[in-house]
Amino acid sequence: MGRPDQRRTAVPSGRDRRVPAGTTGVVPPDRDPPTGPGGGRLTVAGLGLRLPGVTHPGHLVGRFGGASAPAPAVRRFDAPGSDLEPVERPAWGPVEPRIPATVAGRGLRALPYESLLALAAAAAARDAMVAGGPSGPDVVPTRARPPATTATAAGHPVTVAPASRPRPDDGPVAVLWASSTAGLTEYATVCVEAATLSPGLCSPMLGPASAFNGPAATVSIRLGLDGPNETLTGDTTAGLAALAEAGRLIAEGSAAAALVGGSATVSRWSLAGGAGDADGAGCLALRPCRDGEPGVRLGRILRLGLDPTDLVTQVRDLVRSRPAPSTLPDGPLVVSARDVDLVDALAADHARPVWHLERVLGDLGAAGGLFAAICAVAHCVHTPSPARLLVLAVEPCGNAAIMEVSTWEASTLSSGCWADTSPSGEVTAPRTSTPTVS
Amino acid sequence: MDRDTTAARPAGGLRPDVVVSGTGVVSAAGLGTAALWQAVTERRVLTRPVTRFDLTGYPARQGAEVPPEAVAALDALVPPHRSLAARYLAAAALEGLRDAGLPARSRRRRLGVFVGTVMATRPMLDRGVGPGRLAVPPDGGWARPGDLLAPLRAVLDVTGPAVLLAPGCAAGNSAIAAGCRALAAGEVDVAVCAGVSELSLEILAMFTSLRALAADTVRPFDVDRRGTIPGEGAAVLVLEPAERVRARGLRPSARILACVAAADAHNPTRPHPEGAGLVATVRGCLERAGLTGDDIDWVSAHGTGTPASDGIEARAVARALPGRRRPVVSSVKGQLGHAEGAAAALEAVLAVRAMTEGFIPGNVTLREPDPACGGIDLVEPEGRRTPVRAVLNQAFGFGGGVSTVLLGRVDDGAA
Repeated sequence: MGRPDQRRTAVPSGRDRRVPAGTTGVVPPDRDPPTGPGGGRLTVAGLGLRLPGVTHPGHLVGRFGGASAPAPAVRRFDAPGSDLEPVERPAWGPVEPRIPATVAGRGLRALPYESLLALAAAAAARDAMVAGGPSGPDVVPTRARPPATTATAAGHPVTVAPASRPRPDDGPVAVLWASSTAGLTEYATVCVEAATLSPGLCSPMLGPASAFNGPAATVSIRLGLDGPNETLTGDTTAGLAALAEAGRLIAEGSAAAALVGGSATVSRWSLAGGAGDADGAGCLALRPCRDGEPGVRLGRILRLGLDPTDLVTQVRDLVRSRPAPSTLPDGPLVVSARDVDLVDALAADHARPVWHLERVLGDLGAAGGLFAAICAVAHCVHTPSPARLLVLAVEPCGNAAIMEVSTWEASTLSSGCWADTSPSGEVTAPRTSTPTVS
Repeated sequence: MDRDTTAARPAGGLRPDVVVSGTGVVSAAGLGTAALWQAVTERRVLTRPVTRFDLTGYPARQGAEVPPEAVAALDALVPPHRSLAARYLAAAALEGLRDAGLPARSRRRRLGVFVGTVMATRPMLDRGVGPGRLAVPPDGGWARPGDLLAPLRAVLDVTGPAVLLAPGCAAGNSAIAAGCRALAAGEVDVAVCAGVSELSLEILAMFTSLRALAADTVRPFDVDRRGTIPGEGAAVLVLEPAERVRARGLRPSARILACVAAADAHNPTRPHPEGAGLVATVRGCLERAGLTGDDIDWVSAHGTGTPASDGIEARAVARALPGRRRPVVSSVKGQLGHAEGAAAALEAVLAVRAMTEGFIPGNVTLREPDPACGGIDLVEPEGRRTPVRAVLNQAFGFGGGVSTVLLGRVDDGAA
């Protein structure tokens, strides 16, 4: 899709849905949200996920709403060549990348672990979006009243792809990725080699992989996606910001669809820097949706800078004012934030359950907001009745973002995400730790 | 093989007239936009032996450092922070807002910051590189990219989104594009768009291992070019809707006519051999702005001075800008080095000044144009005094991300 010789100017169905100037602020969503993250309405056309122990959307939902989440395994982390002592501590992961068979296998072993995870999740989401029809992926979570279904040989229901599913000639596909850990181990290793080796002897493979954009670049190169390619970093709002930017790129016609993902890897370096304690990657395939089309939809994202000296009150007000009275969320509030007290305050205030992402999946850094959105999508897929819920990401500095996720009519999400059931190229990845005690 | 990529211009003409209302710079020329413009127009080459690190034994030891006296002068402007990049950013933002006639402190407007970076705060880790071992700094800020914004938050009120973009060396243009989108959507009233970078021993070690460093001077498009030289700094463009600037009785410096991004989807370190992504973004900019190749008065090239990249860029520009005249091209990296995350934003600021001053900076270090870079009109070292109405500012980097911004002059009476 989107190969250079195939690219054409195309008009995504949502392109002409412009955002009237001055419409930000706290906007109550309608029953049918008028716009998506960046202006045009977006539907989730595919989901790829690589998280330890998650093989079905129900597992993800169950970790928050049902049985207690499994404790992370104790793993050993070291950083040879530095003055950081090895440590053993609980950390979420590792997770096997399991690259889908649709991805060419050559050279994959040279990729950094986080880029492999990202590629696996993105390829699964891409495959689900492109091949979500009758010959689609082998596992397709569906909800009640899908528009039409058929069955795979394995008997799983497969949703017939909505009419506006992008085809290879629809136009460029954007890639937007959120990560604060991509390249960190490579960067630190170059520093170690600069300290321990003669000049010029650092591995030439490490340096180019030592920036944040390795996952987005890998997805673009390996999947042949030549649309806009952006990496967002920072803290937990970055993942929701990536969704917002993707929505705008689609709305302005720069892309026909987008793969929006996030990833994180835990290492001795991330632990030393307080920058995360979990491995994982997730990706949403997004495209414009049409009037009345069933599916999981993303509402508009509100991004704003709150006063950090009064964060709890402001976040409470933000959550309270977000929905219109007639369209109260009926699902949980999904929150990505490191501040446990803030989340507890929201839980005390919120009529619905509060899902705290970091408490259940670990600290995923800049990918946290994206994973919160994925959890909301999983809830929509897993819930038999139409669902509507809010996703919130808050940073201690006051940076915040909030978005509504809802189902319209019936979920039609196709998914190739579930790691243990996806076809795999049998690629194993170098790990950043050794499991010791389970 | 060309891509027809021109994703159509924004529908309906609803995009507001986004203008540059202020600029701010910290660079190897010192503090301030004026210092940078003066250095560029005086044809000073700002790369010199690196003083911040011990590069004994390295075959190439040049860099474009922010001068020590300018670093010291930051103490009077911004709070202390272990990340020099974070302090550069805050200082440049303060200058940009002052230039725009806006107070740094106000929670009554929606102000967003959009910052492009390559390594964020990671260069703080470099300071632990010592003989035989890496001593890891204790505070861990090198692993938290969001800390890049800490000094900036201390000096101005961010009431809108704070977005860090790290797509490789096109980062500055990505930040400008994100700010434009936020303005177009009505999400913010003011977009502080920036690129920032700190000279990094890791970058020097990486380019040394890749044999991509010039030992003496960066010579973009020269037959004798040998590589690039890292630089550093920060540049800020304050963007607003034109009518908002006009309401303050001020005249904008420039317009943002179009921003287009693409990916080469080719190789982690090598650009597409035909410059596919660059061609796509240049054509996309022209289409969105309704201009032709002949309307472009200056192409501010990425022009890193590496043997492979400059030729590809030159041929791509020649193909993407057909017209009665060859595209007029120069790269300021011969003077400023390659400031990675800051590069595109620094060059965008220079594009603004080129339009207001009617002067195109030259290829100062160019001695003999490379025939492989044919098809373009390389600006002679002394530059050209001429009306400059439209500038293409193009950037790309490792990973294949390409981002091009088209800036236009604000004509008399339009503001």
